[in-house]
Amino acid sequence: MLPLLANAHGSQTLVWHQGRAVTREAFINSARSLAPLLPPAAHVINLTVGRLSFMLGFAAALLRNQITLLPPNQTPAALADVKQRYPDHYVLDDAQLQAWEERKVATGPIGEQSLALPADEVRVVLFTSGSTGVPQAQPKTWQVLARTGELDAARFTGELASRFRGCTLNLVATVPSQHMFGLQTTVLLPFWGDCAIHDSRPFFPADIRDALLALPAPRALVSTPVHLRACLASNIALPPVEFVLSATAAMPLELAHAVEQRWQAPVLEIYGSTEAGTMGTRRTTQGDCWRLLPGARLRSVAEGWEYQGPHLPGPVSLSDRLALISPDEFRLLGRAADQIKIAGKRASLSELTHALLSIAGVQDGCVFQAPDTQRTAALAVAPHLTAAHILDELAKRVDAVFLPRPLVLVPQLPRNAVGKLTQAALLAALPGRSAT
Amino acid sequence: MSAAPALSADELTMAQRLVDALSLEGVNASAIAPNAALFGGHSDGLGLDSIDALEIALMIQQHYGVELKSDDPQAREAFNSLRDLTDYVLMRRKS
Repeated sequence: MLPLLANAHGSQTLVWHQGRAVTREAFINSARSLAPLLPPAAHVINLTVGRLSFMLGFAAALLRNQITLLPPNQTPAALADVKQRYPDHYVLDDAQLQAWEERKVATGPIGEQSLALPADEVRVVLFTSGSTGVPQAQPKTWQVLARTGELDAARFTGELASRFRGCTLNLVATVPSQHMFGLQTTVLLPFWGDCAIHDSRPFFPADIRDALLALPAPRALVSTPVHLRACLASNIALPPVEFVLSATAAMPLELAHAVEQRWQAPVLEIYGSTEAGTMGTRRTTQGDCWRLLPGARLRSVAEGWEYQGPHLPGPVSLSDRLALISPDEFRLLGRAADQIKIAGKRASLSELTHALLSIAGVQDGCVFQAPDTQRTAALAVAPHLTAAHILDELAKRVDAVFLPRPLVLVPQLPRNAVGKLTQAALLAALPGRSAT
Repeated sequence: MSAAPALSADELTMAQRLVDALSLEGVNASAIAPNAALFGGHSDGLGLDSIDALEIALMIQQHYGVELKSDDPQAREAFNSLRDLTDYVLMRRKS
Protein backbone atom coordinates (compact mmCIF):
# COMPACT_ATOMS: atom_id res chain seq x y z
CA MET A 1 0.00 0.00 0.00
CA LEU A 2 1.15 3.54 -0.75
CA PRO A 3 -0.36 6.84 0.37
CA LEU A 4 -2.14 9.18 -2.04
CA LEU A 5 0.39 11.89 -1.52
CA ALA A 6 3.32 12.85 0.67
CA ASN A 7 2.68 14.92 3.77
CA ALA A 8 -1.12 14.63 3.75
CA HIS A 9 -1.53 16.56 7.00
CA GLY A 10 0.58 19.41 5.78
CA SER A 11 -0.43 23.03 5.88
CA GLN A 12 1.69 23.73 2.79
CA THR A 13 -0.13 24.91 -0.30
CA LEU A 14 -0.89 22.28 -2.93
CA VAL A 15 -2.94 24.38 -5.39
CA TRP A 16 -3.41 28.11 -5.92
CA HIS A 17 -7.06 28.47 -6.83
CA GLN A 18 -8.62 31.88 -7.55
CA GLY A 19 -6.10 33.70 -5.42
CA ARG A 20 -6.58 31.30 -2.51
CA ALA A 21 -4.09 28.73 -1.19
CA VAL A 22 -5.55 25.22 -0.94
CA THR A 23 -3.46 23.32 1.60
CA ARG A 24 -2.59 19.66 1.30
CA GLU A 25 -4.87 18.83 4.19
CA ALA A 26 -7.79 20.83 2.77
CA PHE A 27 -7.29 19.14 -0.58
CA ILE A 28 -7.36 15.68 0.95
CA ASN A 29 -10.52 16.49 2.83
CA SER A 30 -12.18 17.73 -0.37
CA ALA A 31 -11.16 14.62 -2.26
CA ARG A 32 -12.45 12.39 0.54
CA SER A 33 -15.82 14.14 0.60
CA LEU A 34 -16.04 14.03 -3.16
CA ALA A 35 -15.25 10.31 -3.47
CA PRO A 36 -18.66 8.98 -2.30
CA LEU A 37 -20.45 11.22 -4.83
CA LEU A 38 -18.73 9.70 -7.85
CA PRO A 39 -20.92 7.39 -9.98
CA PRO A 40 -20.27 3.68 -9.46
CA ALA A 41 -18.24 2.85 -12.57
CA ALA A 42 -14.94 1.11 -13.07
CA HIS A 43 -13.44 3.96 -15.12
CA VAL A 44 -13.52 7.73 -15.21
CA ILE A 45 -12.57 9.73 -18.29
CA ASN A 46 -11.11 12.86 -16.71
CA LEU A 47 -11.34 15.77 -19.17
CA THR A 48 -11.12 18.59 -16.63
CA VAL A 49 -8.97 21.62 -17.48
CA GLY A 50 -8.56 23.34 -14.11
CA ARG A 51 -5.71 21.82 -12.11
CA LEU A 52 -7.71 21.68 -8.88
CA SER A 53 -10.65 20.03 -10.67
CA PHE A 54 -8.34 17.52 -12.29
CA MET A 55 -6.52 16.71 -9.06
CA LEU A 56 -9.75 16.37 -7.07
CA GLY A 57 -11.38 14.13 -9.67
CA PHE A 58 -8.19 12.10 -9.91
CA ALA A 59 -7.72 11.75 -6.14
CA ALA A 60 -11.39 10.95 -5.50
CA ALA A 61 -11.28 8.25 -8.20
CA LEU A 62 -8.13 6.80 -6.60
CA LEU A 63 -9.85 6.68 -3.22
CA ARG A 64 -12.79 4.88 -4.85
CA ASN A 65 -10.44 2.42 -6.62
CA GLN A 66 -11.61 3.69 -10.00
CA ILE A 67 -9.27 3.79 -12.99
CA THR A 68 -8.66 7.20 -14.55
CA LEU A 69 -8.57 7.15 -18.36
CA LEU A 70 -6.68 9.94 -20.09
CA PRO A 71 -7.51 10.09 -23.82
CA PRO A 72 -4.54 11.00 -26.02
CA ASN A 73 -6.39 14.00 -27.45
CA GLN A 74 -9.92 15.24 -27.46
CA THR A 75 -10.87 14.70 -31.08
CA PRO A 76 -14.31 13.06 -31.36
CA ALA A 77 -12.68 9.90 -32.75
CA ALA A 78 -10.17 9.53 -29.88
CA LEU A 79 -12.84 10.08 -27.26
CA ALA A 80 -15.28 7.69 -28.94
CA ASP A 81 -12.55 5.06 -29.14
CA VAL A 82 -11.76 5.26 -25.43
CA LYS A 83 -15.48 5.21 -24.51
CA GLN A 84 -16.05 2.16 -26.64
CA ARG A 85 -13.05 0.27 -25.28
CA TYR A 86 -14.02 0.97 -21.65
CA PRO A 87 -17.84 0.85 -21.67
CA ASP A 88 -18.12 0.99 -17.87
CA HIS A 89 -17.17 4.63 -17.50
CA TYR A 90 -18.37 8.13 -16.71
CA VAL A 91 -16.98 11.40 -18.05
CA LEU A 92 -15.73 14.07 -15.68
CA ASP A 93 -15.47 17.70 -16.79
CA ASP A 94 -15.06 20.95 -14.85
CA ALA A 95 -18.80 21.68 -14.72
CA GLN A 96 -19.66 18.20 -13.44
CA LEU A 97 -16.98 18.39 -10.78
CA GLN A 98 -18.18 21.82 -9.72
CA ALA A 99 -21.72 20.46 -9.31
CA TRP A 100 -20.52 17.61 -7.08
CA GLU A 101 -18.27 19.91 -5.07
CA GLU A 102 -21.34 21.88 -4.02
CA ARG A 103 -23.06 18.73 -2.73
CA LYS A 104 -20.21 17.23 -0.79
CA VAL A 105 -20.36 16.85 2.98
CA ALA A 106 -17.66 17.10 5.62
CA THR A 107 -15.61 14.02 6.48
CA GLY A 108 -13.96 12.83 9.65
CA PRO A 109 -10.25 13.25 10.45
CA ILE A 110 -7.71 11.90 7.98
CA GLY A 111 -6.45 8.48 9.04
CA GLU A 112 -3.49 6.65 7.57
CA GLN A 113 -5.87 3.91 6.51
CA SER A 114 -8.15 6.24 4.57
CA LEU A 115 -5.31 7.32 2.27
CA ALA A 116 -3.58 4.01 1.63
CA LEU A 117 -3.87 2.88 -1.98
CA PRO A 118 -3.06 -0.59 -3.34
CA ALA A 119 0.37 -0.19 -4.94
CA ASP A 120 0.18 -2.85 -7.63
CA GLU A 121 -3.21 -2.28 -9.18
CA VAL A 122 -3.64 -0.24 -12.36
CA ARG A 123 -4.99 3.20 -11.48
CA VAL A 124 -4.41 5.22 -14.64
CA VAL A 125 -4.47 4.39 -18.33
CA LEU A 126 -2.62 6.75 -20.64
CA PHE A 127 -2.40 6.23 -24.37
CA THR A 128 0.48 6.57 -26.75
CA SER A 129 -0.84 9.05 -29.26
CA GLY A 130 -0.96 6.78 -32.24
CA SER A 131 -1.85 9.13 -35.06
CA THR A 132 -4.27 6.63 -36.53
CA GLY A 133 -5.82 3.35 -35.82
CA VAL A 134 -5.89 2.20 -32.24
CA PRO A 135 -3.88 4.13 -29.65
CA GLN A 136 -1.89 1.81 -27.40
CA ALA A 137 -3.13 1.74 -23.81
CA GLN A 138 -0.39 2.36 -21.23
CA PRO A 139 -1.63 1.16 -17.85
CA LYS A 140 0.10 2.54 -14.75
CA THR A 141 -0.04 1.23 -11.21
CA TRP A 142 -0.06 3.64 -8.30
CA GLN A 143 3.39 2.37 -7.38
CA VAL A 144 4.80 3.48 -10.75
CA LEU A 145 3.04 6.85 -10.61
CA ALA A 146 3.99 7.65 -7.04
CA ARG A 147 7.63 6.68 -7.64
CA THR A 148 7.67 8.74 -10.84
CA GLY A 149 6.54 11.73 -8.78
CA GLU A 150 9.24 11.09 -6.17
CA LEU A 151 12.00 10.72 -8.75
CA ASP A 152 10.93 13.89 -10.59
CA ALA A 153 10.73 15.75 -7.30
CA ALA A 154 14.23 14.63 -6.34
CA ARG A 155 15.60 15.85 -9.66
CA PHE A 156 13.67 19.06 -10.16
CA THR A 157 13.11 20.44 -6.71
CA GLY A 158 15.55 18.42 -4.59
CA GLU A 159 18.67 19.22 -6.61
CA LEU A 160 17.72 22.87 -7.05
CA ALA A 161 16.45 23.34 -3.50
CA SER A 162 19.43 25.49 -2.56
CA ARG A 163 17.96 28.18 -4.82
CA PHE A 164 14.74 28.31 -2.80
CA ARG A 165 15.62 26.67 0.49
CA GLY A 166 12.75 25.82 2.76
CA CYS A 167 10.06 27.22 0.49
CA THR A 168 7.32 25.47 -1.42
CA LEU A 169 7.99 25.91 -5.12
CA ASN A 170 5.04 27.40 -7.01
CA LEU A 171 4.46 26.06 -10.51
CA VAL A 172 2.64 27.37 -13.55
CA ALA A 173 2.17 24.80 -16.32
CA THR A 174 0.92 25.33 -19.87
CA VAL A 175 0.52 21.64 -20.64
CA PRO A 176 -2.69 19.61 -20.25
CA SER A 177 -2.79 17.12 -17.37
CA GLN A 178 -3.99 14.38 -19.72
CA HIS A 179 -0.64 13.23 -21.07
CA MET A 180 2.35 11.78 -19.24
CA PHE A 181 4.49 14.94 -19.04
CA GLY A 182 1.43 16.92 -17.94
CA LEU A 183 0.34 14.34 -15.37
CA GLN A 184 3.86 14.18 -13.96
CA THR A 185 4.35 17.91 -13.62
CA THR A 186 0.85 19.12 -12.74
CA VAL A 187 -0.23 16.30 -10.41
CA LEU A 188 2.53 13.89 -9.39
CA LEU A 189 5.19 16.54 -8.74
CA PRO A 190 2.90 18.53 -6.40
CA PHE A 191 1.71 15.30 -4.74
CA TRP A 192 5.22 13.98 -4.10
CA GLY A 193 7.44 17.04 -4.04
CA ASP A 194 7.34 20.27 -2.10
CA CYS A 195 5.43 22.04 -4.87
CA ALA A 196 2.17 23.84 -5.42
CA ILE A 197 0.54 24.49 -8.77
CA HIS A 198 -1.54 27.36 -10.13
CA ASP A 199 -5.06 26.26 -11.05
CA SER A 200 -5.03 27.66 -14.57
CA ARG A 201 -3.72 26.20 -17.78
CA PRO A 202 -2.40 29.41 -19.37
CA PHE A 203 -2.16 29.57 -23.12
CA PHE A 204 -1.20 33.03 -24.40
CA PRO A 205 1.97 34.75 -23.16
CA ALA A 206 -0.17 37.25 -21.21
CA ASP A 207 -1.95 34.32 -19.50
CA ILE A 208 1.40 32.86 -18.45
CA ARG A 209 2.56 36.21 -17.06
CA ASP A 210 -0.69 36.72 -15.11
CA ALA A 211 -0.56 33.21 -13.63
CA LEU A 212 3.06 33.67 -12.51
CA LEU A 213 2.24 37.10 -11.06
CA ALA A 214 -0.55 35.53 -9.01
CA LEU A 215 1.96 33.30 -7.20
CA PRO A 216 4.48 34.15 -4.51
CA ALA A 217 8.17 33.37 -5.15
CA PRO A 218 9.83 30.95 -5.65
CA ARG A 219 8.18 30.13 -8.97
CA ALA A 220 8.92 27.80 -11.88
CA LEU A 221 7.39 27.50 -15.31
CA VAL A 222 6.54 24.16 -16.93
CA SER A 223 6.03 24.55 -20.65
CA THR A 224 6.94 23.55 -24.18
CA PRO A 225 9.21 25.01 -26.85
CA VAL A 226 6.13 26.32 -28.70
CA HIS A 227 4.92 28.38 -25.72
CA LEU A 228 8.42 29.51 -24.74
CA ARG A 229 9.09 30.75 -28.25
CA ALA A 230 5.81 32.69 -28.19
CA CYS A 231 6.71 34.27 -24.83
CA LEU A 232 10.11 35.35 -26.11
CA ALA A 233 8.74 36.73 -29.36
CA SER A 234 6.07 38.72 -27.53
CA ASN A 235 8.74 40.35 -25.35
CA ILE A 236 6.53 39.82 -22.34
CA ALA A 237 7.97 40.65 -18.91
CA LEU A 238 7.68 37.70 -16.53
CA PRO A 239 8.32 37.78 -12.78
CA PRO A 240 11.51 35.92 -11.73
CA VAL A 241 11.40 32.13 -12.07
CA GLU A 242 13.81 29.60 -10.52
CA PHE A 243 13.80 27.39 -13.60
CA VAL A 244 11.92 26.60 -16.77
CA LEU A 245 11.05 22.96 -17.41
CA SER A 246 10.33 21.93 -20.98
CA ALA A 247 9.33 18.73 -22.71
CA THR A 248 7.09 17.39 -25.50
CA ALA A 249 9.46 18.43 -28.31
CA ALA A 250 13.18 18.91 -28.69
CA MET A 251 14.34 22.25 -27.32
CA PRO A 252 16.42 24.09 -29.91
CA LEU A 253 19.72 25.27 -28.41
CA GLU A 254 19.27 28.92 -29.46
CA LEU A 255 15.83 28.99 -27.88
CA ALA A 256 17.23 27.63 -24.62
CA HIS A 257 20.00 30.26 -24.63
CA ALA A 258 17.51 33.03 -25.37
CA VAL A 259 15.15 31.93 -22.60
CA GLU A 260 17.98 31.69 -20.06
CA GLN A 261 19.27 35.10 -21.01
CA ARG A 262 15.86 36.76 -20.90
CA TRP A 263 14.65 35.25 -17.62
CA GLN A 264 17.98 34.54 -15.90
CA ALA A 265 16.91 30.99 -15.06
CA PRO A 266 18.12 27.57 -16.18
CA VAL A 267 16.15 25.77 -18.88
CA LEU A 268 15.77 22.12 -17.95
CA GLU A 269 14.64 19.61 -20.50
CA ILE A 270 13.11 16.17 -20.12
CA TYR A 271 13.69 13.17 -22.33
CA GLY A 272 10.79 10.87 -21.67
CA SER A 273 7.89 8.89 -23.03
CA THR A 274 4.39 7.83 -22.09
CA GLU A 275 5.68 4.32 -21.41
CA ALA A 276 8.56 5.31 -19.15
CA GLY A 277 7.83 8.84 -17.96
CA THR A 278 10.98 10.91 -17.39
CA MET A 279 14.07 8.94 -18.45
CA GLY A 280 16.74 11.62 -18.65
CA THR A 281 17.10 15.32 -18.01
CA ARG A 282 19.57 18.01 -18.97
CA ARG A 283 20.21 21.70 -18.87
CA THR A 284 20.11 22.29 -22.60
CA THR A 285 22.68 25.12 -22.65
CA GLN A 286 25.27 23.04 -20.82
CA GLY A 287 25.86 20.24 -23.27
CA ASP A 288 23.98 17.65 -25.23
CA CYS A 289 24.30 14.82 -22.71
CA TRP A 290 21.26 13.57 -20.86
CA ARG A 291 21.52 12.40 -17.28
CA LEU A 292 19.45 9.34 -16.37
CA LEU A 293 17.26 9.35 -13.29
CA PRO A 294 18.95 7.84 -10.23
CA GLY A 295 19.04 4.05 -10.46
CA ALA A 296 18.00 3.95 -14.12
CA ARG A 297 20.02 2.11 -16.76
CA LEU A 298 20.15 1.82 -20.54
CA ARG A 299 20.84 -1.53 -22.08
CA SER A 300 21.84 -2.24 -25.64
CA VAL A 301 19.69 -4.95 -27.22
CA ALA A 302 19.44 -6.36 -30.72
CA GLU A 303 16.71 -3.90 -31.81
CA GLY A 304 18.31 -0.83 -30.23
CA TRP A 305 18.08 0.30 -26.63
CA GLU A 306 16.07 -0.61 -23.58
CA TYR A 307 15.42 1.68 -20.65
CA GLN A 308 15.28 0.13 -17.18
CA GLY A 309 13.80 2.38 -14.53
CA PRO A 310 14.10 1.55 -10.83
CA HIS A 311 10.34 2.09 -10.50
CA LEU A 312 9.13 0.37 -13.68
CA PRO A 313 7.86 -3.23 -13.80
CA GLY A 314 9.86 -4.05 -16.94
CA PRO A 315 12.23 -2.64 -19.54
CA VAL A 316 10.93 -0.10 -22.09
CA SER A 317 12.31 -0.34 -25.60
CA LEU A 318 13.26 2.92 -27.28
CA SER A 319 12.85 3.80 -30.93
CA ASP A 320 15.45 6.59 -30.81
CA ARG A 321 19.11 6.03 -31.63
CA LEU A 322 21.47 6.88 -28.78
CA ALA A 323 25.01 6.53 -27.50
CA LEU A 324 25.93 5.70 -23.92
CA ILE A 325 28.57 8.10 -22.58
CA SER A 326 28.78 6.70 -19.04
CA PRO A 327 26.51 4.37 -17.04
CA ASP A 328 24.16 7.25 -16.33
CA GLU A 329 24.69 9.60 -19.25
CA PHE A 330 23.67 9.32 -22.86
CA ARG A 331 23.51 11.32 -26.05
CA LEU A 332 20.59 11.28 -28.45
CA LEU A 333 21.81 10.55 -31.98
CA GLY A 334 18.50 10.86 -33.73
CA ARG A 335 14.87 10.16 -33.57
CA ALA A 336 13.72 7.19 -35.57
CA ALA A 337 13.17 8.71 -39.01
CA ASP A 338 9.54 7.78 -39.25
CA GLN A 339 8.63 9.33 -35.90
CA ILE A 340 7.55 12.93 -35.70
CA LYS A 341 6.57 14.93 -32.67
CA ILE A 342 4.47 18.07 -32.83
CA ALA A 343 3.15 19.95 -29.80
CA GLY A 344 3.92 17.02 -27.56
CA LYS A 345 2.12 14.52 -29.71
CA ARG A 346 3.90 11.68 -31.40
CA ALA A 347 2.94 10.07 -34.65
CA SER A 348 4.59 8.11 -37.36
CA LEU A 349 4.67 9.34 -40.92
CA SER A 350 3.72 5.89 -42.18
CA GLU A 351 0.64 5.87 -39.96
CA LEU A 352 -0.33 9.33 -41.20
CA THR A 353 0.16 8.19 -44.78
CA HIS A 354 -1.99 5.17 -44.03
CA ALA A 355 -4.74 7.48 -42.72
CA LEU A 356 -4.54 9.57 -45.90
CA LEU A 357 -4.81 6.47 -48.07
CA SER A 358 -7.82 5.22 -46.11
CA ILE A 359 -9.94 8.14 -47.37
CA ALA A 360 -12.36 7.12 -50.11
CA GLY A 361 -11.24 8.63 -53.42
CA VAL A 362 -7.56 9.02 -52.49
CA GLN A 363 -5.69 6.81 -54.96
CA ASP A 364 -2.15 7.47 -53.81
CA GLY A 365 -0.51 9.74 -51.33
CA CYS A 366 2.32 10.42 -48.94
CA VAL A 367 2.70 12.42 -45.73
CA PHE A 368 6.19 13.70 -45.00
CA GLN A 369 8.08 16.23 -42.92
CA ALA A 370 7.47 19.75 -44.25
CA PRO A 371 10.52 21.89 -44.94
CA ASP A 372 11.49 24.66 -42.48
CA THR A 373 8.61 24.06 -40.07
CA GLN A 374 7.51 21.51 -37.51
CA ARG A 375 4.53 20.68 -39.68
CA THR A 376 3.83 17.82 -42.02
CA ALA A 377 3.14 18.18 -45.74
CA ALA A 378 1.37 15.78 -48.07
CA LEU A 379 0.94 14.94 -51.70
CA ALA A 380 -2.23 13.19 -52.76
CA VAL A 381 -3.61 11.75 -55.99
CA ALA A 382 -7.38 12.15 -55.84
CA PRO A 383 -8.84 13.33 -59.15
CA HIS A 384 -12.39 13.74 -57.83
CA LEU A 385 -11.68 15.33 -54.46
CA THR A 386 -10.65 18.78 -53.25
CA ALA A 387 -7.77 19.32 -50.81
CA ALA A 388 -10.24 20.83 -48.33
CA HIS A 389 -12.40 17.70 -48.40
CA ILE A 390 -9.39 15.44 -47.88
CA LEU A 391 -8.22 17.56 -44.93
CA ASP A 392 -11.67 17.43 -43.34
CA GLU A 393 -11.72 13.65 -43.69
CA LEU A 394 -8.19 13.41 -42.33
CA ALA A 395 -9.16 15.64 -39.39
CA LYS A 396 -11.60 12.95 -38.28
CA ARG A 397 -8.78 10.44 -38.11
CA VAL A 398 -5.71 12.31 -36.87
CA ASP A 399 -4.95 15.06 -34.38
CA ALA A 400 -5.12 18.57 -35.86
CA VAL A 401 -1.43 19.28 -35.31
CA PHE A 402 -0.53 16.49 -37.74
CA LEU A 403 -2.72 17.74 -40.56
CA PRO A 404 -0.50 18.39 -43.57
CA ARG A 405 0.19 21.98 -44.44
CA PRO A 406 0.14 22.12 -47.34
CA LEU A 407 -1.71 19.17 -48.79
CA VAL A 408 -1.13 19.33 -52.52
CA LEU A 409 -3.13 17.45 -55.14
CA VAL A 410 -0.93 16.03 -57.85
CA PRO A 411 -1.63 13.91 -60.95
CA GLN A 412 0.87 11.33 -59.69
CA LEU A 413 3.46 10.95 -56.98
CA PRO A 414 7.10 11.62 -57.92
CA ARG A 415 8.17 8.01 -57.55
CA ASN A 416 11.61 7.08 -58.84
CA ALA A 417 12.47 4.18 -61.13
CA VAL A 418 12.07 1.61 -58.35
CA GLY A 419 8.85 3.18 -57.11
CA LYS A 420 10.41 4.89 -54.09
CA LEU A 421 9.65 8.40 -52.92
CA THR A 422 12.71 10.38 -51.91
CA GLN A 423 12.46 13.34 -49.56
CA ALA A 424 14.01 15.54 -52.27
CA ALA A 425 11.42 14.55 -54.86
CA LEU A 426 8.58 15.09 -52.39
CA LEU A 427 9.86 18.54 -51.46
CA ALA A 428 10.31 19.49 -55.11
CA ALA A 429 6.63 18.77 -55.72
CA LEU A 430 5.51 21.39 -53.19
CA PRO A 431 4.44 24.78 -54.57
CA GLY A 432 7.27 27.29 -54.92
CA ARG A 433 9.85 24.54 -54.53
CA SER A 434 10.60 23.52 -58.08
CA ALA A 435 13.56 21.23 -58.35
CA THR A 436 15.25 23.38 -60.95
CA MET B 1 -15.57 28.87 -49.94
CA SER B 2 -18.23 30.40 -52.19
CA ALA B 3 -17.96 33.68 -54.06
CA ALA B 4 -16.02 35.86 -51.66
CA PRO B 5 -18.13 38.59 -50.05
CA ALA B 6 -16.32 41.90 -50.00
CA LEU B 7 -13.85 42.40 -47.16
CA SER B 8 -13.47 45.80 -45.56
CA ALA B 9 -10.02 47.38 -45.86
CA ASP B 10 -9.27 46.49 -42.23
CA GLU B 11 -10.40 42.90 -42.77
CA LEU B 12 -8.26 42.59 -45.86
CA THR B 13 -5.22 43.87 -43.97
CA MET B 14 -5.91 41.41 -41.16
CA ALA B 15 -6.40 38.58 -43.67
CA GLN B 16 -3.07 39.33 -45.33
CA ARG B 17 -1.32 39.43 -41.94
CA LEU B 18 -2.87 36.07 -41.04
CA VAL B 19 -1.71 34.53 -44.29
CA ASP B 20 1.81 35.89 -43.71
CA ALA B 21 2.02 35.01 -40.02
CA LEU B 22 0.76 31.47 -40.53
CA SER B 23 2.53 30.79 -43.84
CA LEU B 24 -0.77 29.72 -45.36
CA GLU B 25 0.64 28.83 -48.73
CA GLY B 26 -1.95 28.79 -51.46
CA VAL B 27 -4.47 30.88 -49.52
CA ASN B 28 -5.43 34.16 -51.14
CA ALA B 29 -6.11 36.72 -48.40
CA SER B 30 -8.91 38.40 -50.32
CA ALA B 31 -10.66 35.04 -50.76
CA ILE B 32 -11.05 34.36 -47.04
CA ALA B 33 -14.75 34.59 -46.22
CA PRO B 34 -15.18 37.14 -43.39
CA ASN B 35 -17.57 34.95 -41.41
CA ALA B 36 -15.95 31.57 -42.08
CA ALA B 37 -14.61 29.65 -39.09
CA LEU B 38 -10.88 30.22 -38.58
CA PHE B 39 -10.48 27.01 -36.58
CA GLY B 40 -11.94 23.61 -37.36
CA GLY B 41 -13.19 22.62 -40.80
CA HIS B 42 -11.20 22.99 -44.00
CA SER B 43 -14.16 22.92 -46.41
CA ASP B 44 -15.86 25.88 -44.78
CA GLY B 45 -12.94 27.59 -43.06
CA LEU B 46 -9.20 27.79 -42.57
CA GLY B 47 -8.73 24.75 -40.31
CA LEU B 48 -6.32 26.45 -37.92
CA ASP B 49 -5.12 24.88 -34.66
CA SER B 50 -3.69 25.88 -31.29
CA ILE B 51 -0.17 26.52 -32.56
CA ASP B 52 -1.72 28.97 -35.01
CA ALA B 53 -3.58 30.68 -32.17
CA LEU B 54 -0.25 31.53 -30.53
CA GLU B 55 1.09 32.87 -33.83
CA ILE B 56 -2.04 34.96 -34.30
CA ALA B 57 -1.72 36.40 -30.78
CA LEU B 58 1.86 37.39 -31.53
CA MET B 59 0.93 39.00 -34.84
CA ILE B 60 -1.93 40.92 -33.17
CA GLN B 61 0.39 42.19 -30.48
CA GLN B 62 3.10 43.22 -32.92
CA HIS B 63 0.86 44.92 -35.47
CA TYR B 64 -1.94 46.28 -33.29
CA GLY B 65 -0.44 46.44 -29.79
CA VAL B 66 -3.35 44.39 -28.44
CA GLU B 67 -2.66 41.64 -25.89
CA LEU B 68 -4.86 38.53 -26.10
CA LYS B 69 -5.84 36.74 -22.90
CA SER B 70 -7.88 33.57 -22.65
CA ASP B 71 -9.77 34.64 -19.54
CA ASP B 72 -11.45 37.34 -21.65
CA PRO B 73 -14.60 35.73 -23.14
CA GLN B 74 -14.64 38.34 -25.90
CA ALA B 75 -11.12 37.36 -26.90
CA ARG B 76 -12.27 33.78 -27.26
CA GLU B 77 -15.12 34.84 -29.50
CA ALA B 78 -12.72 36.93 -31.53
CA PHE B 79 -11.20 33.71 -32.79
CA ASN B 80 -14.47 32.69 -34.43
CA SER B 81 -13.87 34.42 -37.74
CA LEU B 82 -11.84 37.00 -39.60
CA ARG B 83 -14.59 39.58 -39.05
CA ASP B 84 -14.84 38.92 -35.30
CA LEU B 85 -11.07 39.05 -34.94
CA THR B 86 -10.80 42.33 -36.84
CA ASP B 87 -13.67 43.93 -34.89
CA TYR B 88 -12.25 42.82 -31.55
CA VAL B 89 -8.73 44.03 -32.28
CA LEU B 90 -9.84 47.42 -33.62
CA MET B 91 -12.15 47.93 -30.67
CA ARG B 92 -9.44 47.04 -28.16
CA ARG B 93 -6.88 49.20 -29.92
CA LYS B 94 -9.06 52.27 -29.59
CA SER B 95 -9.99 51.73 -25.97
